[in-house]
Amino acid sequence: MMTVKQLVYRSRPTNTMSAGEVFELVRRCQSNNWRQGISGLLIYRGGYFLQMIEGDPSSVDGLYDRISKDSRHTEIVVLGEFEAEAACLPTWAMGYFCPDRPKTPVKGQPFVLSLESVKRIVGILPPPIGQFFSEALDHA
Amino acid sequence: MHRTRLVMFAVDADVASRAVMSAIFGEDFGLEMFESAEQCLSRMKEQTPDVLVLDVTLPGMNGLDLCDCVKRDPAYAHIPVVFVSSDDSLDSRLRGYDVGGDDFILKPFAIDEVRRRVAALRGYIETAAALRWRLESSEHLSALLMSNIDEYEVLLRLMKSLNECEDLDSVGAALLSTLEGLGLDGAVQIRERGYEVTIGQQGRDRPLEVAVINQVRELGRVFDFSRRSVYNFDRLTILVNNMPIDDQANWAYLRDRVIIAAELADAKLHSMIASKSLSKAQKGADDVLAGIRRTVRTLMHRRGAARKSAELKKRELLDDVLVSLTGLGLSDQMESHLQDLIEHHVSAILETMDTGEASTTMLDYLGDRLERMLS
Repeated sequence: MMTVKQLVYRSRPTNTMSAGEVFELVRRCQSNNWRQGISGLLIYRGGYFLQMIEGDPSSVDGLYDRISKDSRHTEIVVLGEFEAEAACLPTWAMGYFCPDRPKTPVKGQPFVLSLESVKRIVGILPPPIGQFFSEALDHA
Repeated sequence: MHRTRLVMFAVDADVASRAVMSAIFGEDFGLEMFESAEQCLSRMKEQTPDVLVLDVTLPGMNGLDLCDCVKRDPAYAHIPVVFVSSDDSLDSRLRGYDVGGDDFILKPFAIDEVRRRVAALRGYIETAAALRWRLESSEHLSALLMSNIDEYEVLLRLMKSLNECEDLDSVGAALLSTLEGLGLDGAVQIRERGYEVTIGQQGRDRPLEVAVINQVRELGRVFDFSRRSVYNFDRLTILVNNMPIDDQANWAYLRDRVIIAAELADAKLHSMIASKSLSKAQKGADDVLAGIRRTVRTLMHRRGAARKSAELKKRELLDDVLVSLTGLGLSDQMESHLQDLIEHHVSAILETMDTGEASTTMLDYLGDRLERMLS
């Protein structure tokens, strides 16, 4: 049975990012994840990114290594690293939530989950991981 | 324009995956989620969905069998089916294709990509119906179905159809009709630089069918695997899904017919493309000649205008000089001599700028030739 690594980290953008810059960053994250068969969840709230990436351990480590060296992030903190028999969100490369969700999807911008949806998904995540996201969603 | 919300049934045994599907599609579709194929089938007795999204791996009946069940039922066969799977192998896609699946999405997927592909299914629903109607109502197919026809006549009819084809799509449709006439099930992909179309019995450009053909078209001129055969040419690929592998003589016979049909169609495509290139080149030449004609006319006009302007300037110069000389107290003879001197040198300067009668004649001749070529 293949082991899946799950890594949760938090970071701040180095500079104040415009909505367009955040979307571009999210699009790249999704693209990178998809290319490497990594899945996960990303939320941007209260000026912080909180992301969970999961997949093949070497892929996750490699991706995190790149993220940690990305100058657009600062105050990068790994909140937890876990092993599991299977990914908890294997279906998508990365779901994304931010409070500035457009009322209808905008062409060219990544799809943004609704608050209701992301809370439902977070509620399903295993306890240590789900807790990180619950706290982030509860705090402004 | 308000579009009707489509009804989507999504089947996945994993609770997190169901939450994900709900998050992605719940606002745009009338979405119903099921944990098993059996639950989905039971609900379909009450409500017919517009699209099915099936995880391949399900408890009990799996997603492939569910699709097979749906596609065999005339009441549901039109419903597009999208598979979601973590298995990226050709074999996996072929299994999905065999049971009539319309698209195959690999997990973990990019959300925006999967939303786009599911949204595109609206178009497939419409074009599949239109294509089916076109094939069924075509004289060629009707004749083949109603008569016990020799395979050679199938090829002769193909030649006649190809002769009447005016676009790439009609070549594909003619080939598809030929396959049906031979009792074969399959799909045809036509390719030209910048254009590609895949036509199958169930519709046009069905993503899974396109994906399968794109994977097999690099496998060599003729490639057989199990009961499938693939025939690859520069501009087309034919995929046959039901070669009679239990009857070797018939298999070889049909294989030859399909190769001949493919060669005929490839030759037609080649001539259509060459003819299009020739027309384009001819148009290009006409455009160039017209441009040259315009340039020559402009040159002649400007030359004439420049000459007139130069003459005017010469006159003005001489008049100014004459006025100036009057105040110098020179004799009439000296004034006249100076005037002639200036006029002589100015005229000489103008002549060096002027290309002369020969140029005028040459331009007239060129303009006349171009007029005659373009008329």
